[in-house]
Amino acid sequence: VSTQSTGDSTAASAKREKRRLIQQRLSNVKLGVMRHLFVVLDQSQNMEDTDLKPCRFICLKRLTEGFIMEFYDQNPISQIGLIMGRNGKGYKVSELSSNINKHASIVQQQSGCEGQFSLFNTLQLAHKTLTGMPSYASREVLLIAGSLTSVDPRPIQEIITSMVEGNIRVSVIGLSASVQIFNRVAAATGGSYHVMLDEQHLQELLRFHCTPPTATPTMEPTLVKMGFPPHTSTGALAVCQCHVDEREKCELSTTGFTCPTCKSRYCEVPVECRLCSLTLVCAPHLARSYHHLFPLHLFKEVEMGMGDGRCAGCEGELSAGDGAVSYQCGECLKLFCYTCDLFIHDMLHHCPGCEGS
Amino acid sequence: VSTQSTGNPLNQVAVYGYLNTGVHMLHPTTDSTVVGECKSGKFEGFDQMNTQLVLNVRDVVLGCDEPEPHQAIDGSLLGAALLRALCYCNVTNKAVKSGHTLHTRILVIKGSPDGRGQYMTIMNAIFAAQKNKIAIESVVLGEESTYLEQASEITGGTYLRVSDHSALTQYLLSVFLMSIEFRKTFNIPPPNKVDFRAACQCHGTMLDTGFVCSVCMTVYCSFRAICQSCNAHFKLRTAVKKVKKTAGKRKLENGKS
Repeated sequence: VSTQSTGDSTAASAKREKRRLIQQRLSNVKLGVMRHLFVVLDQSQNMEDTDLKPCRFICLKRLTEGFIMEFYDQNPISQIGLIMGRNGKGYKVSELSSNINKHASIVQQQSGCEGQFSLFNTLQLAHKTLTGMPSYASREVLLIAGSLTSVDPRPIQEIITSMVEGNIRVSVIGLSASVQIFNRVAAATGGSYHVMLDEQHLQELLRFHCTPPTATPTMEPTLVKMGFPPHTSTGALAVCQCHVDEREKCELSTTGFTCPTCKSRYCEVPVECRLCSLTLVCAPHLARSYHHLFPLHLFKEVEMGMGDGRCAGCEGELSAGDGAVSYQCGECLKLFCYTCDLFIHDMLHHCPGCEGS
Repeated sequence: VSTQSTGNPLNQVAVYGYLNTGVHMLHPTTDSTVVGECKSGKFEGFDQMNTQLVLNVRDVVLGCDEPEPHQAIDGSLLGAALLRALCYCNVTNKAVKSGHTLHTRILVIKGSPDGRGQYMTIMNAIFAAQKNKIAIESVVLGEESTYLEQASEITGGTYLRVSDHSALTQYLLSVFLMSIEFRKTFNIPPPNKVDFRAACQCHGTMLDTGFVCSVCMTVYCSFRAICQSCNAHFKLRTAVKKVKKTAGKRKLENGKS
């Protein structure tokens, strides 16, 4: 850890960490882009600890809302469901769906931590729903556990075997210490197990789960029938199907998305049509997943010699001298500064130099 | 460009030009060769800037050669220009002092038609702009551009198609000069219905319902055995035979008789 020439050490280690994470994303690997994910949150007595301010549960609620937003941004055609574990039982508070706002408001409404966490019951609840899902989509469970113990009616090995048979991948994020049983569940099902260090690390771990995992051999490639509904503002007067159960929000209108097969009206897409089970999407939703399938290669760190150059992205000056590095694209050999390199790999996923020639 | 800079001393403007051969930054440039005196009564700084801009545009246009006959022209490089503009916006946003906010917009003036090869680049640029709250506004001079329509819709900008080129300055001053919040109080042309349907990979026709490969997300109009882009093999789903119905009918006949 050097603190003199490269400036302050925390910035340098943050740089290295970011580049390592980008390098981990391999290319030419089949990914499971359509995902069905159950988020299991621990609501036991341990979650009232104050090591995360103000208390673990409140902090976790906030981070879970952020995670849900980011997840739908990266995987627009996927579905999330929510399970809470308290008093030795599992409670499914939200069914698998693509409705972001509904999930976020349900997370916000949860309160009160009591009892003990039960690994068996929460996983069994997730298992029941996920085995009914089609096989072309990935089936995942993300468990965020603060407790170090678990109360179970039957041996954990039983639920591990049924998860493996159902091709469900269980990943665990621990909040306190490393627990052997979580490690075993994650390893047996092909998921990952991490233990957080502090709030920022927890946020990064959650972000890690937003990227699609590699596809398992049991996921068969299928041609999924999808509808692309047009957005009309002068259609027939109709009630939208998303709010037909809620008396307050239910109203007649002419605007909305109309399902091509059964002509039912919806306010937002993506959604699964309630009448004909057709998945309704827009073309941009499919396009959001492209950058996972075609990731950008890492740029090479190049020592800057004498003579100034300009960054090919922002036209800013590239600093020359000892220790100053710029980043070079392997294809077009143009140089980029640190800010542009990060921006290109994080957001743009295309090299401006390669595209511009 | 002059009026934008006059509006507020803290406004910053950058201009990029793009063709099918490359993207060039027209303003601000590092090398200024204009030294002569300004003749009209304009503010000297603006006059220099305008002349420099015109000279740069002329250099770029004259500098591009006639394309070779075997090179296909796939539309000009809108995607690359958007990427570079976004990098510049990102760097200027980072350089802003804390406490100040910088609202950024990208205005695209487009004359050439859309190129199909640029689809992914443009979509990624649109999503990056949406995440960074940068609105993409567009003025289209030639034929309609579905890419820019979608870009403006997704990022919250305005799309305008101008048929009368001589009135371009008037359009720019009246519609695009103000920031987006102020524009709501003025009378601007309402946005059109944007078509967000997907086009099928084999014919390019817009689809109401289509088949999507679960691995690589390409859209097809009808069932096929192998995906063109990712070589995934698809199984044909066989129809479920109904056997129970005949057994039930037979039982009923037995019961009756």
